[in-house]
Amino acid sequence: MLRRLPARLAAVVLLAGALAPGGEAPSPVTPWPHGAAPSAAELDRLLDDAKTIEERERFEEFLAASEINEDSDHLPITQEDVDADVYDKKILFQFGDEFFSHQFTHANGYGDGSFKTMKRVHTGVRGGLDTFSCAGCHSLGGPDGAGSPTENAMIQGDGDHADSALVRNAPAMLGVGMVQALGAEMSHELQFERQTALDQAKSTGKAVSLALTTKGISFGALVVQPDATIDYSALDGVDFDLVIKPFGRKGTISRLRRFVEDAARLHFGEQSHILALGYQKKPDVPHLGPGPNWYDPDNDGRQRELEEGILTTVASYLAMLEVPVVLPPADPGLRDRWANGSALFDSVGCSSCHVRQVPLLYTLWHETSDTTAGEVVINLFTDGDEPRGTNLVEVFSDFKRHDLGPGLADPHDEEHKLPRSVFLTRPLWGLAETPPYLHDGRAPTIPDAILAHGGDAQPERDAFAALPPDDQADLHLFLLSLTREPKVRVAR
Amino acid sequence: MKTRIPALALLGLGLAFGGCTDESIAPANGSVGARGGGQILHTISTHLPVDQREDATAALTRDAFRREGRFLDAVDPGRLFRATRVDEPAIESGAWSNDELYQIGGQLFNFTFTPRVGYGGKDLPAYGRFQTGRRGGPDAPRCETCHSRGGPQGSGDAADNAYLQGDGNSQASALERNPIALAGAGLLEIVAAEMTAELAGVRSTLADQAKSSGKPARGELVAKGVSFGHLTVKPDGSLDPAEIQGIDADLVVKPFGWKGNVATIRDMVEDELLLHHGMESDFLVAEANPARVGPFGGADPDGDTVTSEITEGQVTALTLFVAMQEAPAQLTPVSSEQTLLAAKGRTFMKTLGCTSCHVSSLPLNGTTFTLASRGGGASVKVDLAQEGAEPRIAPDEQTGSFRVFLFSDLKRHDVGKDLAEARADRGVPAAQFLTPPLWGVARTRPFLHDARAAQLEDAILMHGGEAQKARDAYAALADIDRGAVRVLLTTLTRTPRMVTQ
Repeated sequence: MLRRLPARLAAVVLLAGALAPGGEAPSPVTPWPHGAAPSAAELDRLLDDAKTIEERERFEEFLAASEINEDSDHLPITQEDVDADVYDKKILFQFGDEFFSHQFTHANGYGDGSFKTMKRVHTGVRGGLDTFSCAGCHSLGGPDGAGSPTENAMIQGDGDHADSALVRNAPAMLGVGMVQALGAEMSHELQFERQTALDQAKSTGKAVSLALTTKGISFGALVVQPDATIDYSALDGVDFDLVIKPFGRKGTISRLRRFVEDAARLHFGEQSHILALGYQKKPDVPHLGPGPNWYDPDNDGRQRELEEGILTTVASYLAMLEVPVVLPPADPGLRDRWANGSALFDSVGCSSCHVRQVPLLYTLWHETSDTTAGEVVINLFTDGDEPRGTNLVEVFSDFKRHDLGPGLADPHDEEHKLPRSVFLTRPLWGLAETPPYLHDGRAPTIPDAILAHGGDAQPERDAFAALPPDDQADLHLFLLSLTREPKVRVAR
Repeated sequence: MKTRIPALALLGLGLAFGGCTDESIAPANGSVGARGGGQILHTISTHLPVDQREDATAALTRDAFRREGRFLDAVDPGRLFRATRVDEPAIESGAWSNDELYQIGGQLFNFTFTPRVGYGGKDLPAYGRFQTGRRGGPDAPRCETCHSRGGPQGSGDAADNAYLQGDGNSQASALERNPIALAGAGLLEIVAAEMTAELAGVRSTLADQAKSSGKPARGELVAKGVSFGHLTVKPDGSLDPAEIQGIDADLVVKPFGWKGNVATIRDMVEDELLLHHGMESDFLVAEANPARVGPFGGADPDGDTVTSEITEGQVTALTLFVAMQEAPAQLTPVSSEQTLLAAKGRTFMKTLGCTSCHVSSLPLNGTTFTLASRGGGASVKVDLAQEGAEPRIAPDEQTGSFRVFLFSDLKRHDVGKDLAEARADRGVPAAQFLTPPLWGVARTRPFLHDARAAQLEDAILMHGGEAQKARDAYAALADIDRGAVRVLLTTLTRTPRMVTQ
């Protein structure tokens, strides 16, 4: 090693007295994110988790090889079994985990039966087929992670041409349980405020002007008349139903079970039994297919492709996923710069939409079923994977829709006819592990993403652009500390 | 050097480990022993500890350096890329060990390309999911995003498929290709080169015969026991390629690409950098084929104002990184019952006819990967049995000789109309594909050239053409016996390793 060093550098090393015995170059000091190497106990815990999963996966892999479709046996989890507490939450988590990496096949209802190759560009609202598993597009930066640009979904297109579609980069799934619960609390508060105003207007006989605020975040204003008519013209960043919908790049889905159902339908052609039941009442041909039988809308000879119990299981699993963390640099000098970057995040104005912390009031999440009275009750702080964070959820979002300007606008209208340049404030937690950025993955780095902001965010974008290079670097550095907990697993 | 860059970080991560400061980034001026650009960042390793605890600690250590390196790159923009700018003269003079070059190549493999370093081109869209002719996408920010399934440097998901030689907009216009796993790539090149040499031997023997006899000489083209048909050489030395099978008339065995049309890792690496990232190597720019590098000419044919996007040294480091990848492994199943099934499956592979193309192993004469200098300098040589990433190929305990357990004949075959594409690809007919090596196959789902098969069962049953008979024989088996074949294939995997991402 030493002989390969340029003389000048070798001299520095020698002068520093840093040579290890035996003439080898010294081992560098590891910049541990938590300041020190994991303790023996921590390492044991990480290893145990990794080995448990590996043993299970290896067992399942060989079982699936010897008995065809054996790995599909978890798919018929019925809601009745979930309601009867046949599975505890650990088992539900495990089933959800297996579902997430399960590769769907025709035997499970994949596609509409005519599949030959991938259809990367979706055909209208019916979907693609663009992959075989959730993990196919959610594994960058670690399990349940984000998608690369190659994995972008090209939705609502003509089935062939890239420029006919809307491009959507797959976001990471960590912490979505907290996001779902925050959204529900915010919706509840906003609706309660509206109901209170309605009651007040009725009882006083006078119009009520209401400033809608929840968790310190303003959603504009309503004017409520005594006859219960409501003027929504000053409403901001949320639909008239006052339901916060934190999922989907444009903020269109409020519950994880609906997100799972939609993704399985769009990407695998796996149609949930709930959707089929809806089809029985009112055939939704554009989304589900021509039938003719309500119980098999895509007419591939498979029915009950996705049991309701599966939706409950996977939604519970996602709610129990670990939560992202903030891990500053190890080097003290870099830490100073990190602190400066953190202050700049506020002074530049980023945190006005990317709200750092949103308080969560209720610890329990009730994963209620669609067709039964059953529910899975999840303690968001004790059930599921570590780390779980605190009730001050460091999510970096206001869960509002904002106009981001023409530069980021979609090239076509989407199915809900939301304005093309409007997107939900993307939660920034875990940011460092989810490049590239923005709804279509166009920004390879964080500064690129910041500079692409426009519309409502134009002043903040300009303030960033006007910073001296060192300050820009510090803000970049701060955002790189939004990450996920270091863990080990056996590569799969 | 900005004063605000922490001195400790520079000392800790730069100087003390033979890395570079801004001063030492300057070109090495060809001086022997000078390392010039490039820096080891401690994020990549050839070592795979047998002990899982040690492996986990090593993985977490690399992850810690990865995280801190990212911070350092934020305050010193370009640091991560400069760390990959290793100089070819320094490499050829032996200033870097192969192990170090592996690490630098790995850093490049994991680097996110940006327009600042040359990603894309002026005549290309910012992102092109379906590629435009031989110009490419660009469709990926780094190598790793499409080579990470089943472990580091693995394969790609179906969603990661590349769409080659299209019109830039329509999926139907393009050829669909699933990214392959890179484990064993160096061994693959070596065994193919040995076969090519053997075929060249046949040709020259026939040429000698034809010349001395004054009559055309015809002989069988056999390399490592694989027949590539027959060759006829005329007395004037010209070849009659009519009876050649499964290989181009140049008689070069090309083990890379689903169509088997690339012979070396360096050619592959250079083409992928161009097609997927718009990162143009100095070598390709000098070749200046506008259909590939762009229409603008000169030193910046893709017109993105960045010149020397990829240096020869970077090509060498990335090539070595790919060439030095671990050898795939065969691991025993979880139960004795399944071990018996696997043994049965191995027999079925023979009796059904699978192994007539998926030849279970080929002999290897040597294990040294050689990368010839393209500038007249010294070759870079790596003995994969000694210096490759672990686990390495090992000699047979009794004979001391080497074999690669490839499950391929490295030959092209017609696999039928259902798998055929809409058109030929660079001269290879639409229904012809290289027999894909099955080593490590259990870690490379989904399967087939366009990833249409989610499971091994699907992949087998989708075979047609020359493989129709073997496929039908498989389909005729009872499920338990088909299971035996699938269990055998599931033992073809990679050695478990701890990762953090």
